[in-house]
This record gives sequence, structure tokens and C-alpha cells, in this order.
Amino acid sequence: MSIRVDSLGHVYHPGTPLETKALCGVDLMVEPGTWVAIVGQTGSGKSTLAQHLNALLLPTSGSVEVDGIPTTAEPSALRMVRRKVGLVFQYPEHQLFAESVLEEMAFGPRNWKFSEEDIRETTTRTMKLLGLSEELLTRSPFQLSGGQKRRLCIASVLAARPDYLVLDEPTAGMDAPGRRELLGLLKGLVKERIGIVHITHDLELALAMAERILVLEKGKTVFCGTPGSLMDELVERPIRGLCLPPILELVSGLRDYGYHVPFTLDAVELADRLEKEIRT
Amino acid sequence: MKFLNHLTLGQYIPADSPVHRLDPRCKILSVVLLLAGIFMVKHPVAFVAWGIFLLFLSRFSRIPFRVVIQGARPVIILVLFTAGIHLFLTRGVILWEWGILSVTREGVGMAFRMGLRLFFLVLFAGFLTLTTSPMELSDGLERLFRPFQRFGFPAHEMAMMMTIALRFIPTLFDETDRILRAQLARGADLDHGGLLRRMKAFIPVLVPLFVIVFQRAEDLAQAMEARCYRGGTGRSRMNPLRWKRADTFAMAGTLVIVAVFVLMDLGA
Ligand SMILES: Nc1ncnc2c1ncn2[C@@H]1O[C@H](COP(=O)(O)OP(=O)(O)OP(=O)(O)O)[C@@H](O)[C@H]1O
Ligand SMILES: [Mg+2]
Repeated sequence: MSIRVDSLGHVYHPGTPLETKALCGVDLMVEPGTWVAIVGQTGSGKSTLAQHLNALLLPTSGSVEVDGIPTTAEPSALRMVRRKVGLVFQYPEHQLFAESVLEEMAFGPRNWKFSEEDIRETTTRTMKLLGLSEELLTRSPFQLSGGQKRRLCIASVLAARPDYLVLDEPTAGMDAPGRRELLGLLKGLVKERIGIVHITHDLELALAMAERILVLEKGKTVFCGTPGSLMDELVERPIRGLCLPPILELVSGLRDYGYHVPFTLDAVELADRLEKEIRT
Repeated sequence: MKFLNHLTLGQYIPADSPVHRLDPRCKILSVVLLLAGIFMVKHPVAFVAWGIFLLFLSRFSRIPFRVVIQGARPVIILVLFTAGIHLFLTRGVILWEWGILSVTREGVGMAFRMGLRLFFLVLFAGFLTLTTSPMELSDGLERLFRPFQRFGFPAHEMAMMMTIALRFIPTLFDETDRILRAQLARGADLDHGGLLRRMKAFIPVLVPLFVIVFQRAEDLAQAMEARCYRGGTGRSRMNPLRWKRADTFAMAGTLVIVAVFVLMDLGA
């Protein structure tokens, strides 16, 4: 039971002047209950990869399998895969359409033929989960604030109870508390055995949250492994398309000066260790 | 997977070709001439001649023929519809009859002629937008219509409106495509059920699209005002249009070709 991406390649508009190679030989594995981050610069193919995970795009070469179902143009396979893998798009606010927040959330579950009772249950649950208050239920989605809209979009995907959740830049344009809350919520989902694929520009975020990180550059894998090994590698040599988060930059500088401080993203821990170093 | 074809009618494909380099006024006038010529085609052989000219034009402008054809795909239905109407509604020698439907010999001829005419029309018109950037196109139109400004014709405003509309067709297609994907990801089922159900299934795509269109219009208006846009009067150009010798040649060439084709057709 997992999403397996096997030497995936994708070409947009093959055979036209607009031909673009967006992905080339990418491997990835997402098990239930794990958090995988995909980082990379603008245009590195992150969103393209994300859309392969729930069969919105089909591989030009290689394969994608979700719980043993390969993504092909066959309609029943498509629906099965989309049912299992929820995808929150980059700037998902543009998909809002319903008359009320409730209807917006019920859209997915209704498409997947949940019973009315089940829909009521799942919408109230996800509303709570995302910290949207009950009185918003009857409001128009277009009257919500930007942050609330973002949460509603995530809720509307989550309400269909997917086994895997792919989020494309979910925290872009969110304030710090909102971001922390959302990340906490995703952590909770991981505990409920949902597989999270988190696409982000923010390396620090990925290092802090993910169990595995895939770094893409121009559609190719430049790194795939644990945050620890990525940090080790980053300090050894720069990885194309990635730069160190400020705190690691600082650690690296301190070590150059002869302080034995660990690679950590935790500022408090770093301060403690540094204090000890200076005392001795 | 493609939900919408991106290479749709009116997409500019940059390339360095003699056709791309022509003055937009020359291209607009040539296309008008060509279209007028196509409207007069009757003989099957003439269609072949026009087809060969089309191939030649595609080579000359470095636009693969496949792309040219692809551009006409959206109007195929219209072409078939027109052909169908002519097929069944033309009076003459009856070849085949079924109930109230009847196909006549004249009808078959008319269907072919009208269908092909429309198809060629779109293909040739497509060259204009394939080889001319929207910016050049509107510049060209504005200049061509400038004489009519004296009679109160809003040449600049028309040109600007056209540029904007043309410019946003591909964007809107992309936007629609994205919304479509987002709703499919949420399990939207767009191709099952009767007509009414299918139309209803498109509401989740249309509503966000309208929202985006209005938002874009407002953003654009603001951006233009922020850059001090205030209509055409007193507006200078960075790259003023220049009519070159090549344009004169191209214009003359088109005139000759159209004249020869039309005469050939009349003679045959
Ligand atoms: N619909 C499309 N048609 C043609 N090319 C595309 C399309 N979508 C993406 N591309 C191209 O594919 C490449 C990868 O794009 P993608 O959107 O996957 O990047 P990304 O990593 O998500 O970037 P960002 O961080 O800016 O969202 C880019 O070069 C882009 O220009
Ligand atoms: Mg992206």
C-alpha cells in the first residue's frame, strides 16, 4: 500500500514548438502515515509531479501506481486513484464555486457518492479540524478572507477522506500562526495514517517537517533522502537550486570558527549548545 | 492528459521567418485578399491549388503544417455543421431520400464547397495570428483604421480591445484547464448522464471562471491606469511600423496569386 513513482517522465505538448520536458526519470515512494516533501525552484516540475500523483496528468514515460493501481486513461482506474489521492492545487482559491461553504465542502463527498448523513458528519468534522467556525457554513465562499478561503479549499479536499493528501504550496501567503496551525493539522493527519506529500519552496519547512525530501531541479532528481542526510550533504557541498536556510548558514559559519555546534533548525537548542561551548 | 488543447485559434508562435518579419499591415491586407479569393473558389482543382499554396506558406513561415491544422480544430464542428446544412437543404437532382431528409447532387457539391471554403478560411486567417504578435496586430489595425477616425470611428479603442481579447484567449483556456483539473481532482464527473446533468456538472467550472475573468478585467484596468494609460491621443510608439520593400513585394505577390487563382477558377 503506497504511491510508487517509477522513473517518471513528462513532456508537455510533445511534437509542437511549445514542447517542454517537465520531468525526467523521477522516482518517489509515499507510504501511508509518512510525510514526504518535494522542494525545488520555480519551474522545477513540482506541480507537474503533483498532478501525476492523482492521474490528472499521465506519464509520458515511466509509471505511477497508487496502491497497486497504475494511472492510465481507463476511467475506472482514474476515479479510483482520484478518490484515494486528494490534491490541493497551488492557489486553490480559484476553484471555489458553490453558494455556501457547506455546499463547497460537500462537493467532493457528493461526487464520491457519500450518503447525506455521512456528508453532514464529514463536513462538520473537517470544519472543526481546520478551525473554521460553524457560523461560516451558510456564508458564500467568496465572502471569506484569503486565509479562510485557503482553509476551506483544503477542507473541501479533506472532507472526501482521501488516503493520501498532496498539497501544492499550501502555506504560500499564509501568516505565521496560520501556517503553524496548518502544519500541526497535517502532522495530525500523518498520525491517522494519511500519506502527506508537501510541495514547498521553503527548505527549512521541509527539513523540519518531512521524513523524506525529494529535491527537483529542471525536472530531475538531485536529492532524495531523509532531512538529516540532506543537511549533511548541504553542508558538504551546495546542491543545485537549493541554498541553506539562514540558521544552518549560521551553524556552518560557527563551525568554521571552531565551535562544535550541531546542525539543527532549533534556535533555542543552538543557543544552548553555543553557550555551553563558550563556557568551556 | 490534455483536457483542452492549448494550441488554440489565435496563438502566436514566434519564429524568425520572412512572414514573421513582414509589416502587420501588409499581412492583414494580404489575408483580407486571400479570404476574398477563397470565397470565390468553386472548382475542385482550385481547392487543390489553394491547398498547395497553404503548404508553401507553412514552409515559408516556418510553422509546421500540423500546427496550422491544429489551430483549425476548434472550428471543425462548425465546418461539419455548415456542410451538413448544405448537404440536406439544397434543392436539385435527388440522389438519396429518407423521410423528410433528402440529399441532392447539388447538395453534395455545395456541402464540399462550403465546408472546404470555411476550413481554408480559418486556416489562412490562422496564419495571421500565428505569425503576428497581438501587439503588432493591433498596431497594424489601428494604423489601417486611422483614416476613419475623422468620422468618429474609435480606431485606437477598437484596436486596444481586440489586442486585449486576443491576448487573453490562451490565458483563459489555461485558466479553464486549471479549474477543470481542480474540480476533477475533487471527483467532478463531467462526461456522464444526460444533457441537463452534464450542463449542471459544468457549473463548478464556469462560476470560478467568471470570477477570474472579472477579477482579471479589474486588475488589468488598474494596471493600465497605474501606467497612465489614457487612450490613443498623444501616445507615441517605441517601434513605429515601417513599410519595407519586402512588404510591397509580398502584397504584390498576394495580389497576383489571388488574381491568378480566381481567373483560373472562372476559366475552368
Ligand atoms: N500546461 C503547461 N504547458 C506547458 N508547459 C508547462 C505547463 N505546465 C508547466 N509547464 C512547464 O513545465 C515546467 C515545470 O512546471 P511546474 O509547474 O511543474 O513547475 P513548479 O516546480 O511547480 O514551479 P512553481 O514553483 O513556480 O510552481 C516549467 O518549465 C513549465 O514552464
Ligand atoms: Mg507549481
